[in-house]
Amino acid sequence: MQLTIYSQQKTTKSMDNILFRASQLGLLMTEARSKSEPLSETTKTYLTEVFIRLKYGREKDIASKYIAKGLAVEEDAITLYSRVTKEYLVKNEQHLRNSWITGTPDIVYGDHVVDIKSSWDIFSFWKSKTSPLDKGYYWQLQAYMWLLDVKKAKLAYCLVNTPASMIDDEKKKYIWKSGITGEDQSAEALEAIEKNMKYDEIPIAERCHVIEIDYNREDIERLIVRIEECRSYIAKTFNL
Amino acid sequence: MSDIVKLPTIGEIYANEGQILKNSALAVILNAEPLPAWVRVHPITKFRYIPIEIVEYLLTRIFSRWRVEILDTKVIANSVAVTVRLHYLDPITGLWDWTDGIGASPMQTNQGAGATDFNQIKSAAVMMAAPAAETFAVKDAAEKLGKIFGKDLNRKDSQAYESLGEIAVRRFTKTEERTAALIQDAETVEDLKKVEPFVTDATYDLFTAKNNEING
Repeated sequence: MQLTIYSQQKTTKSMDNILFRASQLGLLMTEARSKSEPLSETTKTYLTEVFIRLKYGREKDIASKYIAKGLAVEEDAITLYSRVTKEYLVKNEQHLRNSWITGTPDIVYGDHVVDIKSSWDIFSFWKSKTSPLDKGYYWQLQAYMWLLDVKKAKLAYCLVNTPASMIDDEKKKYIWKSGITGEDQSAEALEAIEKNMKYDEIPIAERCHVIEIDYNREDIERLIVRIEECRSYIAKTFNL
Repeated sequence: MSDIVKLPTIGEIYANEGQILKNSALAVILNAEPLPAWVRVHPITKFRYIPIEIVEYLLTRIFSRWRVEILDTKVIANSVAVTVRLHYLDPITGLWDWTDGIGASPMQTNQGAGATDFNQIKSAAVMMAAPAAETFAVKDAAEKLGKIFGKDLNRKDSQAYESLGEIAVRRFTKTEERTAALIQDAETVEDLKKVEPFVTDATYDLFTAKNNEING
């Protein structure tokens, strides 16, 4: 399959046809409380951030330990998913775009696309198993299927070990927070932190949870309408 | 002349195995391995250590009488540093002897503040850091008395082996780790065929061994 490589928008010249990131489409598709308003407050807030990014090159800092772990263990999670599916899978590095959206799916394999979500811990992993599908992830995978022209997507939640440096960060936070200075006093609590962030003894099949999603043409049409509304909002609100 | 210490021969040194001072029962005790149950592993630094209560128990048990003299306390960077002299009554000679030790412990600053931002030091920081530094200093001094106090705990081969183990793991890249994992998981020829295109020099031996295992 031929994938298109795009250049990230950086200047105000690109404002006319803003391309929205697949990972953020959930923010565009939230419904407004009032039916007379096409865009929700969540969407408007996000659009302001998009405008600032494109005009001034500043991005709102969304750094968190959850995102940091996701990035740090990306390859480990793909390895876990590969082991569970018994297929050697490789991370996709190609950026895709069409006239409305951009995105970089984690894995493109055969007739489907896979997006990996690394859970922060075993509790958030199980929450993802027992909760309804996250709407943001739904739209993200619809977007990837649209970009790739495939009809099936898999959302794979993976539970892999937290990197040692991040475990140490959590331990240090605990030590500072608790005010403990003696090395013996905190040993049990620190061991518990480590145990909560490593999962080697849990069978790999129990550390991977996959949700299959089918392509929905009607939703993509709704998405296109919403993107046009968002572009109009940005042009009107920021006098472009 | 009777005070002259008899030097060991080079043959005794080579054959030593910790028995050079076999005529000294105290030296044998001090150079005995600590009980495994006494040794703890620090969860962050992974250093092995003997807790202060064990050190104090051993000092009392071996020397009967001991005391700590604080020689110096000072602030270095964001830490309180304490130098102590550990005095002990030598049970063989009946004379007091001593060994020095140094320890340091950081002073806590408020959450979000820099470690050396002294305007943000917690009110109880010195109160907590100073005794901790003294404890570390006493342990440092005691360690010099012999293995039983943890002298060689972090100097041993096991430490080196751990490091080598990490290096051995790191010789694989993340994708090679994936290859190795899939090779190890493989149960059939089909499983191996899937991973074969991704085998590199680093994983070739593993692949060959698994292939032989599956094909008998």
